[in-house]
Amino acid sequence: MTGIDRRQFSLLLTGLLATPNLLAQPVLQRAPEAQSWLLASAATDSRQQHWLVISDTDGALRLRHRLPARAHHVAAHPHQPWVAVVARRPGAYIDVVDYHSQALVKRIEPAANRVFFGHALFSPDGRWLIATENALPQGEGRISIRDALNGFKLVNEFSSGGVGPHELLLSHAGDEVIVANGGIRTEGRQKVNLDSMQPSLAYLKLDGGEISEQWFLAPEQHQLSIRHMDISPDGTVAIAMQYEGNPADRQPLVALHRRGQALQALSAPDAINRQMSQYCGSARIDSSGKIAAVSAPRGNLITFWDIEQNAYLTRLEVRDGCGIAATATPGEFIASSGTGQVYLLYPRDGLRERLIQDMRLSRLSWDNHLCAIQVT
Amino acid sequence: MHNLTRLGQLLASSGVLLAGITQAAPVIDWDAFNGSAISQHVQPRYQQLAQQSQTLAETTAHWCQARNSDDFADVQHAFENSLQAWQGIQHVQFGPVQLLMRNYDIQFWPDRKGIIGRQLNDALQGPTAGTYDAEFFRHASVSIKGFPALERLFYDKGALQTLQQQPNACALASAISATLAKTAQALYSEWQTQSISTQEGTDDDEAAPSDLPDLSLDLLRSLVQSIDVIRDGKLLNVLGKDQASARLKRAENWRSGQSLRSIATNLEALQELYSGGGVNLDLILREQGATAEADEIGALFSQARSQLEGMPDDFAPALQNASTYAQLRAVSVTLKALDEALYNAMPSINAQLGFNSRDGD
Repeated sequence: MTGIDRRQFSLLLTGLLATPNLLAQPVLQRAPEAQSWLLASAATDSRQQHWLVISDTDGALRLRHRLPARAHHVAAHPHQPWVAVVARRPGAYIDVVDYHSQALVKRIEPAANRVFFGHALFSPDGRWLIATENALPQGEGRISIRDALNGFKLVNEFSSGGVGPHELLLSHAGDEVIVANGGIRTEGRQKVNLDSMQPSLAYLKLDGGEISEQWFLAPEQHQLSIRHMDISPDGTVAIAMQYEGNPADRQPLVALHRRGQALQALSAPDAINRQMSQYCGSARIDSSGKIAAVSAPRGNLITFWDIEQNAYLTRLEVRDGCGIAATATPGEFIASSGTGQVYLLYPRDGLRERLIQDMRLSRLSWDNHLCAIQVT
Repeated sequence: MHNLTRLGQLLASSGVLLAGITQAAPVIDWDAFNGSAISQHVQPRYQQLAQQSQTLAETTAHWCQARNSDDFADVQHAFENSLQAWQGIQHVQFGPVQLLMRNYDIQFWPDRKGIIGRQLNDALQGPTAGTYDAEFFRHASVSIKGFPALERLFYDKGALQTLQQQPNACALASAISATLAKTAQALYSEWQTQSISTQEGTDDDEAAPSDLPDLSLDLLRSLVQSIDVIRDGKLLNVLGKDQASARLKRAENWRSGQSLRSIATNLEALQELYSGGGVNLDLILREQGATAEADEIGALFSQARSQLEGMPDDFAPALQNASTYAQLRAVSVTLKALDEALYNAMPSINAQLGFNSRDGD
């Protein structure tokens, strides 16, 4: 424990628990002339320079913040006009940027022998920034907690319950962090343990890191890296995976998890599964909690899954599409692509609609994740 | 025999290697590509849009004086010419058209939530009805500044009677077409007066320029991505899963019966961007040794366009006939192949249009 002690931290967490989980709330319904929401993403330009960009409903550029290296995920603060953009793993920075003033609020650097691992989130009360990290040199997954009110000072850190933690979520009760432990030990970006990797989904108590629940895939599926996920209003976690085994194997790439139950792998029809090319990029659940969207950029697909039925639903083509956000309308998503395109997706109707962006945005390769921010 | 075969293979492969060394691909002159594309493709097409839109504005204003049923076809004809001029440059979604959101001003589509209809009703019957001056358009919704709004006024059921009997309707149609003409003229002027370097210059970064200028990348995107937009947004969304589930009202320009004509115009324009003018992508690919790729792209453009030949301008009759429906399916298959062929050709000119699929996390 660094800075404030564990007891103080636990007391402060009670404030977090009393606040409803805003993170799971989707953006407002699209109204073409209302500036109701913003889209934030990491992006890379043709000169291989890296940016945090924010655009509005009309595709106008609202923020362009230069980054020191390629980034991965963007997390919105629940009530400040801030976003935290997390460096790609192994990451050396998290930039917290004020999108009203365009100012860098804080460049957070990892502690000694730590690197950021691509994802972070704010607690619903906005007080804590919680991130996945990797401890060097052993390569153990860590969860770090920083205090936004005290210059993002590190206040707690505990094991993620596995190797290679990547995306993380908060439980609706707010007392647990849910971690995708990808299972892959890396040196730089080199994967070194593909034969023995053991991915898991772990539920950890926020006030100390105790594992309250942890699930592993079947032994024959141990090379399915659990990397990205989202949580529905009823607590179902939709998981997007990447298969590190033989490319010719037929493995499920999507799974669901409900508390107290084993992980449930879902399979797409053969042709779709093959097209997904063993690789999913991100997962988001719609506002109704009934449909999960999982991107498969190597297959140029966004796939959709019926959560209640535990079944594949449909897919839409989006070339190099990876980032996904849900809108406030049930069954409706927004997707961004490495080709600079942004689309509204209507999977029930089999439709997509291109959102025209400012040319400074459409020239960019939009990176892995898309963050939609409500603007009131 | 076996050894001779091996020897032959070795010679053949060394020949390939030698050819690779002795015929190194020339450096691509992207400035020449940009210059050709702008002067021989972009500017003339904006000029055409400006001229046709001006004709439409004049024809509408003139017709509204007498509102004679016999002459109404002149208005529709002018509208269709102007619309097709837009379809001929619609793929350029960068540069001046993006300033002040003029791309949406010209064409707010698709309109899944029926915004245009509501806004038109407000404009015709609301508190500001009848006054359609510059101030009105400054505050007006983007949805009623362009072609889709005019299309409703000129082609909706009972359009002629409405225009004849409701003075506001004709006044609004005249005002929208005049606004459209003004916008088109402004776009043409801006493409003429802005130098190529200005067109590029929104990046204020200190870093070294890339090998591929932004303007070239914009032009390549306009070409490559538009094929996907046509196939997905203009064809497959309408065709549905089968003929029984086809949905005409998802088509662009269905009211004016111009849907398929618009697609044909799009493809003609894109093929011109690909292989027309002086220094074009077709030529660059060939200079870089990607002859097979260039041949394939050219053939697929021609195939898609010939598959559309003989089709009606209007989507409606084509959807009702099994044979034309199947033919449109075939067009979508060709466009899929064309989209793939264009993407596959990009690495040979060091143009990277995506990266999540190559290096994700």
